Amino acid sequence: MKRKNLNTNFILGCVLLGSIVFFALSGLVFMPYDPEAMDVTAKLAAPSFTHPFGCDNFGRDIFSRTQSGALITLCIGTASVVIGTIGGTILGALMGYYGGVTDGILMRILDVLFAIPSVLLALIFISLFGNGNLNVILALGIAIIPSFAKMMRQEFLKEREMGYVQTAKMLGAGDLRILLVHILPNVMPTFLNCILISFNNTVLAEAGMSYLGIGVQPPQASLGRMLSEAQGYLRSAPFYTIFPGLIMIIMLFGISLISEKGRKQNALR
Amino acid sequence: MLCVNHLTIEFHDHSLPETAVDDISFTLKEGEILGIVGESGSGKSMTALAVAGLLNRGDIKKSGEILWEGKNLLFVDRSELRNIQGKDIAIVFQDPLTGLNPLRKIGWQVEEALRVHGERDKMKLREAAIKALADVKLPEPEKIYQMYPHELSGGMRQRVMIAAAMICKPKLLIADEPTTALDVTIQAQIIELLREINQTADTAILFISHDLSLVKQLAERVLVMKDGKIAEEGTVEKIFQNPSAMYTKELIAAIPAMLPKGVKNE
Repeated sequence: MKRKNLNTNFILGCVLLGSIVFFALSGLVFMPYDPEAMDVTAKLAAPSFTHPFGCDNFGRDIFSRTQSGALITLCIGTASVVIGTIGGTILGALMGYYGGVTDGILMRILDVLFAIPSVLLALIFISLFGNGNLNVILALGIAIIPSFAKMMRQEFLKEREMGYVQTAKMLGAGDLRILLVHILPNVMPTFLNCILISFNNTVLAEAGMSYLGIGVQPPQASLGRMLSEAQGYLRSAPFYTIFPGLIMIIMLFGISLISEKGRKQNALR
Repeated sequence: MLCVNHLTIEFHDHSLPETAVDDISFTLKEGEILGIVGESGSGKSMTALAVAGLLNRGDIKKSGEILWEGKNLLFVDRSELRNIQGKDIAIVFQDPLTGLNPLRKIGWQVEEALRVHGERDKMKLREAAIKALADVKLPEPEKIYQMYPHELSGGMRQRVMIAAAMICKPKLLIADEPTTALDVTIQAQIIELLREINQTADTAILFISHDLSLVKQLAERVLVMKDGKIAEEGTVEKIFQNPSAMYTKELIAAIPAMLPKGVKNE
């Protein structure tokens, strides 16, 4: 019963996330309007057959903008998670496996980074290196590293003491081989979970940054950017907030459901 | 072949240094079986790990020399050590239940030593692994090749461990309490297997155990260790028939004997 429940949630999560990915990708093939083309006559037009999600304060089609915005949000999320994953795994593996002085020094540095909120960290990074999508990706990626590294460290620390690591060592396997080929498959559940959770956090953080004006720059659309632009028209044009917000909620909810399965399975092990 | 001179191992992980192995010396000839017996904490496993080159922690201080074909294993480069590990010297650990990677197939794990030492040909690897599995008397090696560790019993897993250790035909096999985690009937089989390996592959065996009766069955020469020192050394016959050290006498007296009903074991 419990297991079945878990699977339904997992499938639901996949469907939700999949439909958003499909929605975002469909923009590459079919987009009713140019997301950056303005049309003064359709300023803040309510949803209709010509503009299914309505139009924003510059008369841009919200449906098209949501499509391209979701795609950008997904891309930024994925790219920064890749950076965070690589950095976090390398650091975590080094700290957990070698321990000792390496661990001590790196851990203190991460503790300092941990003490600074990740959005603030990204803000500092942006103010140092300037705006732009690439910098947003880098900033978010670096912001993930501390938590990712800590979680992976714990896992590698646990596995280091296992007998099979000793066996591999005595067979003459090098450290890199032991870390990647022998240990990494054994920490996969935590690893995948870390990825999903950080993906969720990055999407939120990107939205937050765009909302503050340091994320994706206008006139380009991202879900967070659109929400921040929409806040002035909450009363006069509620659809402007509702549709991008809805897309984002579905996306995050989907990821949460997927990662929940992994978490529960981990607890069952 | 193996010559250990004045080996001393000290732990420096607490405020006071602790000596695990205190100035021991012994030699091992090709094809010989040497037993090391001693109680827990007598330093026998530390000696084994040192010989296998697995004591690389920064807080352990080692001195003396472990000469392997002229090279001092204590202070040789990591890369050179890895060339010897698995190929010339292999070790079988105490616990076969955790000694295998739970997520890899048996075949892959048995092949590992060959792969690490540069063999890339998949067919050759497979062939060698199946032969190694057959050599340790596992039934249906082709089937076991495809299995995962959790599908095997403890005794079978220990055989797999021995197969993995023996695949490169090492000159020295260190068996660190290989039977402690197994029950008595399986113990006897593993001992038998080790003896066969010694005879057919001409592999020298360093057999470490706290069980004198096992050592008596397998080894030719015995080292008795206590508190990191060698209490007594000699052939099996000499140690059992004519022990000189007090500690050895006590150890021998502690072997449970099969006595007729009614007779008390003093």
